[in-house]
Amino acid sequence: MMLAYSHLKQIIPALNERALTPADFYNIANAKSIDVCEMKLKKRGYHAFAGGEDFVFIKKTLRGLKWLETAFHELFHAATSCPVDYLHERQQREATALALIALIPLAQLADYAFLEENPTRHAFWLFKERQKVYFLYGV
Amino acid sequence: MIKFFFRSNLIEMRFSEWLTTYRKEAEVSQKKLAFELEKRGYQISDAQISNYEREYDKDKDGNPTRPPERFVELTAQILNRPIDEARAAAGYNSQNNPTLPPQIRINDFDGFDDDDLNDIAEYIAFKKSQKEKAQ
Repeated sequence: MMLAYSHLKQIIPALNERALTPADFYNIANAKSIDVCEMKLKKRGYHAFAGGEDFVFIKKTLRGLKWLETAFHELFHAATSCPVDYLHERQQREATALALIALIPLAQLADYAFLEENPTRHAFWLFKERQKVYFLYGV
Repeated sequence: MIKFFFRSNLIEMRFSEWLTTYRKEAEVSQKKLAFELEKRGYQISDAQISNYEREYDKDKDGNPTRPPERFVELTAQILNRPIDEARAAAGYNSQNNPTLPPQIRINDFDGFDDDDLNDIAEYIAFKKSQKEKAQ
């Protein structure tokens, strides 16, 4: 996890300094030549690796925090994972943790600013998960 | 639609039976299973696990509702059973989905869906053909 974090920090210096935005997402995807496709999906998102290229698929109807959470989760799969066979628990947890760091930087964790900006149940759940990441990895 | 009681050639067992049998075999109580799931980031009560075992929740047609994929996969991990076996018992497709070409590797966010995988395979094939044309 920390290796993936350091690797990402080199690519995205703003990671954990400020909350990343959809513009950041597209900048990183462009820089890493990741094909992003928003399409009609039943599940929230996928990352695919085929013919040496990475693809990120995001459900078209997602908005706000759910869009960001899914987008960064899948993007971090592309940025940190070597191609592996289907669901790999460790990589899933890693991508989730990194997406939480992208959404909620450490400063916003300390002063609860994130919850003030997003007073929803899903945001509260994300915040709790982000606290766990901080507790486990100290970032 | 594939129902909860779907039987595949992988396993001849309903998910409720599968869960009860292998949970008891692994000597894991419902409470302990709920605790282990929570440790892996999946919130569930022991009462809900009991509901799955008793097929308590029914859909509008009276069939037992299918437990979430994440629950099925994590439970299989905890009980040291093959994930495909648990997925088949719950009526989900195998993770090694035959609809997706083998050269495509895929990670999900919250589970896989057949239609999604077909659309993704089509999109990738389309992109590949476009690239070949350009060359």
